[in-house]
Amino acid sequence: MYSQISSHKVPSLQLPDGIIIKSASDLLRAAQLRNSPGGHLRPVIDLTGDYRSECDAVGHQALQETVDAFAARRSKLANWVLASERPDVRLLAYLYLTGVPLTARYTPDNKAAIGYGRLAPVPLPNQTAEELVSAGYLARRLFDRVHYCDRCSSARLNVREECPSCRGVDLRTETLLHHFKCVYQGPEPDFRADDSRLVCPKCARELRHYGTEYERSGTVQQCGTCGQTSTEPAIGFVCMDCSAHFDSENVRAREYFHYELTEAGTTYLLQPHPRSGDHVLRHLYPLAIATRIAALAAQGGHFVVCEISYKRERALVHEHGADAFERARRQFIDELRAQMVVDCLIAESRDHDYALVPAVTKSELLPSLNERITYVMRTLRHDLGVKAFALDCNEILTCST
Amino acid sequence: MLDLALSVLAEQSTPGLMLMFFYVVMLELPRYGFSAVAFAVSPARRQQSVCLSNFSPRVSVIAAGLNEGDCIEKCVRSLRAQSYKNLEIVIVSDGSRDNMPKIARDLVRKGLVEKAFATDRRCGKSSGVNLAYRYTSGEIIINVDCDCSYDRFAIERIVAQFADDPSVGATVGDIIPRNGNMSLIAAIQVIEYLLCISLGKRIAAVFDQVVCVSGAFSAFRRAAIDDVGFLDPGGGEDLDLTLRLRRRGWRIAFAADALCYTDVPVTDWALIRQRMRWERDAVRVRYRKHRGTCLPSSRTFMVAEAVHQIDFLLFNVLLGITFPLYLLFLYFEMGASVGFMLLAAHLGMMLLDTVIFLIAVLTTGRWDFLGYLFYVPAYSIFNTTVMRAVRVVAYVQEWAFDGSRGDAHYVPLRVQQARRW
Repeated sequence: MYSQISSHKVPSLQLPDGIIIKSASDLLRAAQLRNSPGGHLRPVIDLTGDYRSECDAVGHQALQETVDAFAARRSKLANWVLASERPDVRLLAYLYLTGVPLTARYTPDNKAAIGYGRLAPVPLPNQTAEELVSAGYLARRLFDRVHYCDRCSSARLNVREECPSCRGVDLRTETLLHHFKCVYQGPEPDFRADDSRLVCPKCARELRHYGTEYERSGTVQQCGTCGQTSTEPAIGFVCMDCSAHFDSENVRAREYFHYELTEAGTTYLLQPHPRSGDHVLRHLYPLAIATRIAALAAQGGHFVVCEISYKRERALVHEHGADAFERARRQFIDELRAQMVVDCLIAESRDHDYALVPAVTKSELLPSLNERITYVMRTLRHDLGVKAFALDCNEILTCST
Repeated sequence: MLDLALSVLAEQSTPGLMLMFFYVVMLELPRYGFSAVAFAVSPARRQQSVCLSNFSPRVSVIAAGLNEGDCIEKCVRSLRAQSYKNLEIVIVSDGSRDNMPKIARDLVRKGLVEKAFATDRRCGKSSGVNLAYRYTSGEIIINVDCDCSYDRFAIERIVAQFADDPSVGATVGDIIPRNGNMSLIAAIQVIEYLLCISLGKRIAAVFDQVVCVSGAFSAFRRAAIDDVGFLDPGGGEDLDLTLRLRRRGWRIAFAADALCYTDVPVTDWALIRQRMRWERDAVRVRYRKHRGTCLPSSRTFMVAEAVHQIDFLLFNVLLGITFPLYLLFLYFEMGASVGFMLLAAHLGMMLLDTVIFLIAVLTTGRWDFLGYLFYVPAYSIFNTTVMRAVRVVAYVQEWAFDGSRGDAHYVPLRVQQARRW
C-alpha cells in the first residue's frame, strides 16, 4: 500500500511520491503516514473507491495525474516549508499542494460527529485553521453547528422532549376542551364520563356537537413522573457517551467550517525564508498576533501585547450557561476594540484574547488600558473577572530568541 | 354668561331651587355627598390591615390574557417583588398571536412563573382563568390583569381580609390609574376611580354592598369558587361572579390598602367603547341573569341584593334614560333661559364633585392626587353629559337589541352566541 510510484522526490526529504490505499486495512497505516514528517506533502490515492471523500484522488486513472500535480506544486515551495513540522505551515502547504479546500463532513462514528477525515494533515485541523483564518491566510465558510457535551466533548447527544419541572421524559399529551356554554376549559379526561360520553365537570351538561357546543382549544403536556403540567415540553440533551445531561440553555455548540487558502496564505507560503522568531512566537500567541509581532520587530518599532483572561468563566457558565458567557466575552471584546486605538490588533484564542497595541511602551499603555477595561466592564451585564497581563516588545523578543 | 347663570340661581326661591335641582338634591346629594361626609368622619376609614403573622396560606395568582407579550413580564416581576412570598403564578395565553407564549415559557424557565399554558384558539378571558384555576393549588386564588402592576404589599393586604372571617369569599383591591398624565380623558378617569372605587367601595364595604370584584385585582377563597363554579361566559364576568357569591351567602370585602396600578384609556373613543361594553354587560348580568334577586316574587329574592339592584336601576338606568325628559321639562318650564339654568346646575354639580373629591383625598390620604383638583370641573361635565349619554345608548342597545351578544371584542362570538344569559 505504500509505494514509490514515480521518480519525483521531495528534495532533502527523500520521500516517496504517494500513498496508495488498496484495501480497507490500509487506511489506518495511511493516516499514520499522513501525520508523519513530510506525510502532508504527498497525495493519498484510493484505489478501492470506498474512501472517496477522504483521499486526494480515486482510481488508477487519477493516480499519475495527482502525483504529478503534487510534484509540480511542491517544486515551488521553499525548503523551510517542506521541512517545517509546525501545524500551521503543514496545513498551508497541504492546501497549496491539493489545490482544494479543507472540507468538513459528518463523521457519525466519531465523538466529534463532524471532522476533516482521518487523512487530515494535522491532528486538530480546525484549531490550526482558525488561527490561520485570524492571520488572513485562510478563508472560512460555515458548514454546520453541532452541540456537544461539556464534560466529554462528545457530539453524540440525544435531543429529547422533557418535563420542564423534573426533566423526566414520561410525557403525555392531553387535548384541552373548551365548553362554550359555561366556559370551562380543561384536559379531555376531565370531561370523560364512564360511558365514554363527554360531560362538562362544571355544569354537568353533555357535550355533543363539536364546534357549536365545544372545541379543542389546545394541548397540554402531563408529566407521568412528577405530575406537572405545561403547554410545551422543555428540550434536553443527554450525552450518549458519558450520560451527562444539559438543558437547552446550557448546552454548548461548536461551529465547523470549510477552509480555503487565500492570496495572503499563498504569498506567505512561497516566501524563500521564514521570518526570524516566528517559530517561538507561534507557541506564545495566535498566528495573527505572532505575524504582526514579527512584522513590527522587523521595522524596529515599539509595541505591547496584552493577554486577556477571564477569571469568572467557570462561575458564569455555571450560573448562566455557556452561551451567556460567550456572548459577554464577545461583547467585551467588541467594546474594548471600539475603545482602543485604530491600529490595535485584537485576536482570540480558545482560552484567552490578545491585544497588540503598536507605538507604545508598557508604562504608557497600562493605566489607560486598565481604565478602559474597567469602563467596558461597567457596561456589561455579567462580571467576566477580566485580567490583563502585558509584555512589551523587548520582553517578547527576548523570549522568542 | 356665568354672571347670568348665577343670577338665575339667585332669583330662585327655595322651592324653585328644589325643583331645578331635584336630581341633585333628592338623588345625588344623599347618595354620594352625605355618605361620603359620614364615611370621612367615621372610624371605619381608619381601619388598618389585619396582621398576617399566623395567616399565610398558599396563594395562586392567575394572569390570563390575549397578546400581552409587551407587559406580562413586568406584571410577573411586580408580583414576584411582593412582600407575600407563599405564592404560585399561573399564566394563560388565550390564543395570543404575539410573543406572549414564548415570554411565558421563558418566565417558567427562569423560575418566575410556576405554570404557563397557551391555547391555540382564543376562548376569552373567562375560559383562560378557568383553565388556570384547574391547575392551581392555592387556598386563595388571585385574579389579575396582565397589564397591571402591584404595590409591594398588595397581595399581603388582600389576603389578610380572609384571615379572621371565614365567610369572606372574595376581596377586591383598590385600582389606581397610573397614566393619568397622558391626556385629559385619563385625568378624568383618575378622579372617577378615586371617587367610585377608592371612596365608593370603602363606603359600600361598610354597608356590605361591595357588588363587583374587579377583574384587574381580586382574591377568592377556593371554597367559595368551588361553591359557585368559577367564571361564566360573557363580559361582566367579575360582576356576575360577585353576585353569585353573594347569593350563596359569601361576604365580599374591600382591601383599601391593597393597591393595583392600571392603564386607563387615553382617548375619548377608547373610553366610550370600554364603557359601552361595561354598561351593556352590567345590565345583562344584573337584570337578565340575576333579575330574581330584586323581584320579591322570585325564590332567589334577597333584600341585600335588591338594595344594590334597585340602586343601580334608579341611579344609573332610570336617571340616565329620564335625563333627556328632564331637560325637556326644564325647557317648557323656563323657556330660553334653560341654557343658563343648565350652566347653573353644572356649577352646582362641580361644587358638589369638588367637595366629594376633597373628601376622597382626605379619606385615602393620597395628597398627591390634589394635583387633579383642577380637572374636577372637566370630570363633572364629562360625567354628566358624555358618560350619561353613553349609558343611555348602552342600555337601549342591550335591552332592545341584546347588544352584548354581538360584541366579539372581549369574548369570541362563538362563546357569546352559546351563552344562556
